[in-house]
Amino acid sequence: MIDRRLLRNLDFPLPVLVILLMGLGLLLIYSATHSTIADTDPAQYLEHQAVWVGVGLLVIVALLLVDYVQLSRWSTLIYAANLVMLGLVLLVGRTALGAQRWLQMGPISLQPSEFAKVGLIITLAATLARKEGKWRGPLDYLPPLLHVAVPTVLVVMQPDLGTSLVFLAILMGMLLVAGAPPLQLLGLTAGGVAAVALALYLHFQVGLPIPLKEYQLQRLIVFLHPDVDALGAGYHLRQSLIAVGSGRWLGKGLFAGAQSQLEFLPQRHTDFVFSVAAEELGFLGAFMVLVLYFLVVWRAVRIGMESKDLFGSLIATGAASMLAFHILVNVGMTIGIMPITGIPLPFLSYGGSALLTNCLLVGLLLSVSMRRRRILF
Amino acid sequence: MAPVGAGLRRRIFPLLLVTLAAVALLVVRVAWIQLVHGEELRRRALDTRLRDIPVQPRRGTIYDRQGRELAISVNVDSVYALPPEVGDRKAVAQALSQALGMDPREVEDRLAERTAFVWIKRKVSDGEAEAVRRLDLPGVGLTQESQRFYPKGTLACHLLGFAGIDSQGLEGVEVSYDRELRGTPGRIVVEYDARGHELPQAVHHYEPPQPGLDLVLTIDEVLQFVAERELDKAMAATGAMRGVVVAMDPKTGRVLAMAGRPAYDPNVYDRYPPSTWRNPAISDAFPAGSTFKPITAACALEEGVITWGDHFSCGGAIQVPGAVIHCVGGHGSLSLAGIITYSCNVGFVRVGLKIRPDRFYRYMGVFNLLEPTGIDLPGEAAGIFPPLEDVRPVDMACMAFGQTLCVTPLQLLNALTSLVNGGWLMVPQVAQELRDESGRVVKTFPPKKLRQVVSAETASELVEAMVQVVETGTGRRAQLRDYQVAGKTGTAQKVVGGQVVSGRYLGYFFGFAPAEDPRISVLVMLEEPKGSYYGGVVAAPVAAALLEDGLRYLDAPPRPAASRPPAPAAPAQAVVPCLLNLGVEEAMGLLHTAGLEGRVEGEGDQVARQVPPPGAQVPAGTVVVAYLAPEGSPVNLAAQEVTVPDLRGRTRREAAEVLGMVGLRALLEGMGRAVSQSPPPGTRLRAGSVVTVRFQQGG
Repeated sequence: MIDRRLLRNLDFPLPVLVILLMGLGLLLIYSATHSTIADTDPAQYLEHQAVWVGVGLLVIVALLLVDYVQLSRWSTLIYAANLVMLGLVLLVGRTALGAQRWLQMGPISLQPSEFAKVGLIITLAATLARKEGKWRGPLDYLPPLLHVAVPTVLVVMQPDLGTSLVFLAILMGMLLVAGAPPLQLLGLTAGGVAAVALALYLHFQVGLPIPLKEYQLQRLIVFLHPDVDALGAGYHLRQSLIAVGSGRWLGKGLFAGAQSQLEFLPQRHTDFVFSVAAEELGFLGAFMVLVLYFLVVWRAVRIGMESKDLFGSLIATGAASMLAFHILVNVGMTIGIMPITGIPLPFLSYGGSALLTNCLLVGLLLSVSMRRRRILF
Repeated sequence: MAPVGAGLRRRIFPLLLVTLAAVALLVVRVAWIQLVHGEELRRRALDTRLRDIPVQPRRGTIYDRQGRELAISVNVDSVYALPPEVGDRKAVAQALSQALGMDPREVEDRLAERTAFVWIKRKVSDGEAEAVRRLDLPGVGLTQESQRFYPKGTLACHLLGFAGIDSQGLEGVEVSYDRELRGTPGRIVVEYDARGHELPQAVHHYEPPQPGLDLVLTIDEVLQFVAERELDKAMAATGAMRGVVVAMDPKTGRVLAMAGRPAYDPNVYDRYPPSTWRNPAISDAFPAGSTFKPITAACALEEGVITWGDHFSCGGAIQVPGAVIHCVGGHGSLSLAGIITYSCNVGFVRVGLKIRPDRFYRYMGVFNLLEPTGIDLPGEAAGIFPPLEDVRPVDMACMAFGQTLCVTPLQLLNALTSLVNGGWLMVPQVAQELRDESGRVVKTFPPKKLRQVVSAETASELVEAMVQVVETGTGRRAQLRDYQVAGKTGTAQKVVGGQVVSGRYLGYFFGFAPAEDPRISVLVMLEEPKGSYYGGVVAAPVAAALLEDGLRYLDAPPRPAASRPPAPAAPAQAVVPCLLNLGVEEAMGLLHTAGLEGRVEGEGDQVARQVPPPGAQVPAGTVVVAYLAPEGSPVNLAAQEVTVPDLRGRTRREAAEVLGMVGLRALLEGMGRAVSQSPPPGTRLRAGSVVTVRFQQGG
């Protein structure tokens, strides 16, 4: 069992915040789905998600038992397993919604690209920790870039553009903490964004071939011109904006949001669960949700700052970067300031793989926080 | 592994700041959408869920002033579909097309439209409605619409106008009172979810339509019918291209009848060329011709440039800078009343040249001839006058007798009526009141006096002159036994494309009765009559018939038998009138009045010789041969001397007739029996000279 002295060091706010968010997620998922699947079990989605929440809590507790420091030893194995899983998806994965993302394992289907995020954080942390925070020059970029490039390419091939962007966000955050000069990172990010923008511009102007599918381009066009195709590609965003906007200060009440209850809002229990929250709980509810997320990231950053070693700090940094990026992109897309990509909202969106991934992160963070001081006997 | 130092902490911290900035950005954006933009988005949300099925209100009924229905609305069913709610498009289209007798392909196309609501077939028959009701197809329904029906067919079509498929007014009072007649549409609101399921417990309510108000017109169906009957007769007799009859109550400006030809049936207006929808009484301006002369006289009198005592000499033509203007004949010396009575162009040229153009235009404004009258009908035209700065003497000369300027028949009637009702210019109107469903009057339209345009004295003297027009002058065909009719004839040359065209005329008559207290004033206009085209010949009888039937219908007391002209005894014998120097039409008209037949010999514009001679007693029906000579070679009238008869003791009508017979012109002053005459009986005069006769009541 865990040492009582270790437990004293546990960061208690983090699990409380996460349990609050997961509970709220269960409510919203039930609200978004119960009325429209009356022919089967109205609580079908709720029950599935509740099972995942239970499993997730067990995963968190289980990780408390693991000393995260040991993980760096398993780094190579984890990295290899990651690549194998992603490769398997491409070979035997199940296709849904136009992308090959799921591995069927008996009754449950898993999304390896979700778990790959945790794997990447652990293995990249192990790689960068060996530098001991000393940055010697531009050549130091190469190993971490290569490290991230291989799984990124595999993910893009699914295609899962959203996850590949998450990988890059994790990379940037962790490079910063590993000692890369902030200005260089900033320039790198800006340069990347500019290059993508230029490529898109050239694609539309002179037909430059780019590795994007038609629907992905559509989403970008709709993001720039929301009313171009109100019933087609613009439908998601339009309905989401209507849902969010009609919430006003206090919302229409749980289970009473017309946009959500009447199925105008697509993907309302997964990618657009924030729209349901905003419609039914109003600005106050949406604000509370965003505050909870900020507190979660704050705890992660704090754990990173108080970690006893660079490896723990990097793990916390990766977790914080990933969570922050997920929140910004997911919430941003429901309110029209980010293009629509399939990035779920942590702890709230329906989906077992994402929930387990996030619980793995929480378990790791708690493990780092618990062992922040060397134990002297 | 190396312990974490302060430097590392500093490196992690920016991550928190970035997150804080991102979250703040999200909060601001959410607040903007929810708190600033929210109302609009909430409305949009409702819009996507609610399906509106319109329910048309019943359009208000239009009545004549006695409450007789002129336009009514009946409720009919229309078939609609809500395309998103229709399941099997093909099957539904098949069933509907059978029930409604439509092409299944067309129905299917409509069902495929990407809208929430689409009409399948509007205003269906009861049988079709029942068939659709029995089919009970998903997403297909029936709603109430209003079908306009004009029970009297073409009667008053130009005035009523018509309403279109959406019960929207398109012409006539249907347009000018569209807002009042229309009512407020109701609706059936049903809430649907994204898959198009009707939500059982959701918003599902019926807002009943508010029926439109009923409109009561100033028109009287009987008078309108008489006007149209007489106009039809005249159109058939003269072969005119277009015709107008407008009758109004001179004291109120309320229109009693407004008829136009050609007409159309508003029930099936789309089967008629749109040109027939135009209301010729208000939509087009025409040269007014001599009918305009009383207005010129009023201007000159009010301006003080002439008086009733002035005399004007007429030798048959007058030279003005740039033109020579002709008269029908040489009128000799005539008083102001005389030039009105005999419609002397030369006399009016002399009057017109005395009026300063700017003053003349000011009076045109006073008479509201420069602008539309303001009647409550759509599409009213204004008068057309040459620009003031371009007006030369020849223009003033022509405008004085009603050429060069163009006014609408309604403008002309309204201005002339102001001269006979004591001097008040009214705003003509066709609406009397609006009533709601229960018959309660919600709005009345009182008569609108615009301004006094001439003094009461001037008005009564102009009435006197216009009495003479009918008794002895050009308007004799408007005489009635029971009522004293007064008026003014007019024959205008048509203007096409700004140019006067010869051989195409407008025949006018403006009349009112009883002269001393007019109950009806009427304007008749016939455009391009074939054959005789003089207003006094073609238009005056129309006005007379309307006035006679109209006044009887209005229970106007007939004049006492004493002042009644003698009933025309069946003339076994007839006196041959003097036709010399008259135009063909006028000569034939005179013969016809005298009960004689006429025949024309030779070429020319005027009668140079006649057989038998003027004054001869012949059996009624005798053919009088008129020999023509070209204009400009007038007969030496001095050779045709006649003896002035003794007129004392005779009525105005008798005196006028006797003088006319022998070829003299009459100027009658006063009422009653003749007491004196000048020159005295027995005097030898040139044919065509004027004899002035004074009358006194009870004399």
